[in-house]
Amino acid sequence: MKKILIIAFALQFTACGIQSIPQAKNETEAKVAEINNQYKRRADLIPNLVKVVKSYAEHEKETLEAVVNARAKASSMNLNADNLNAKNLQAFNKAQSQLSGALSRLLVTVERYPELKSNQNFRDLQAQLEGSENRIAVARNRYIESVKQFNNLVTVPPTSWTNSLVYKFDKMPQWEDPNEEQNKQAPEIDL
Amino acid sequence: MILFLSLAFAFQVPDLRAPVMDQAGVLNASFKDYWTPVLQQINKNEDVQIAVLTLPDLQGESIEGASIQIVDKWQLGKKGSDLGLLFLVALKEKKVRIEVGRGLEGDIPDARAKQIISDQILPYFRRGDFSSGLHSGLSKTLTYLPMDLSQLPAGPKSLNKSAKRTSNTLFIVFCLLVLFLNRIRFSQRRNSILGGSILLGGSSGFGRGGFGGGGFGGGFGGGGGGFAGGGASGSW
Repeated sequence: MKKILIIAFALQFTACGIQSIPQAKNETEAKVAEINNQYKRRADLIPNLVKVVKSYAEHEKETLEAVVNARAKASSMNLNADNLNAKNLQAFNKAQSQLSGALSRLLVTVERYPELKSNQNFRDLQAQLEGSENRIAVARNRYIESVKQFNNLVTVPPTSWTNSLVYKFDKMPQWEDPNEEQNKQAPEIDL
Repeated sequence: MILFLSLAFAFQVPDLRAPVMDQAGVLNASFKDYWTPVLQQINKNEDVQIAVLTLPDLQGESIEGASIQIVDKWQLGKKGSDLGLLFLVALKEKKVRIEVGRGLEGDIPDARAKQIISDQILPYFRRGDFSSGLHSGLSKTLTYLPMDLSQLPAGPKSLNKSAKRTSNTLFIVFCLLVLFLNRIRFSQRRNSILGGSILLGGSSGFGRGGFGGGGFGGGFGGGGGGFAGGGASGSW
């Protein structure tokens, strides 16, 4: 009988968030690290990309410079899981979006250089860049899911009571991507 | 309402039942007959787990989005080593993708996945020959993987032009094999060693039912392998 009581007691603990809240926090921090990691991966590809494009398309100085500058700005920022708020997440997101924009403009320009487009080195870099963008999208989606879970734990009772008594964690900022909103709205217009 | 809509249009991931799942119905018998047991064997002997899925359409999802949802559910590869690979074909969208597990990103970096798609797969796909395209892509991919290929049976050289004939031949060989095994079992039961006139008595009374029964009992479940969105896509 005593054993059953102890187990019941322990089970109550697992349901109240004493474990799940810090677990969800750790999970979210891992997702933040993954986002940093994947954006860094993209940034690391850019010097080589710029070099290859430059060798074929010298005239595109402005577009290339825009990429280099946007990269420098984006690389100077990192998401810090311990000090994550809506403001610095937005700043990070903005810098990265600007780099995405500069990159896509560069890739549009490249269309005018068939020799560059058929260069194997360039094609490999382009494939890596595509892969990188996809990894970023995956990492972001996983962050969004993870934050949703964490925020539910710290705001929805009964786990929120545990949070306000024991942990006192704040909600984590959710990722809001202006581009993504546009994408989401597109199918609705079709309806 | 928006939530409802997004739920209603969420991509439906099929259940993983076999290494080759041809839901679009574009792969010929010789492809399936060769690759199903080979991929089963790889899964059994190595940490690597490879699956092929063809879909009639992507239900409005992008190929990358569909692909990551599929591997998140299937969890190809083992937890920790994460050596999973998915070959995904979407017929209506004319898209193909190789999704590479975390543990294989070193063996098949994105650029290599892209090269496999554009050099091995797409030339065949453009002619509508999906079996040969995937055969060529899978064969090339295996050469990059950290495993012993000598254990695997030699693949058919080509699956395209003579596909129909090959599949018939394979079918007949398979029928004879099943019949032979049956005879042995049967004769063993009767304490007779000789199988009798297998070749002559074979053709009659043996229908297609033979295939369904020969399922691979071991199942083909994922092992918790993780994916981070690595790989490449292409369209034809």
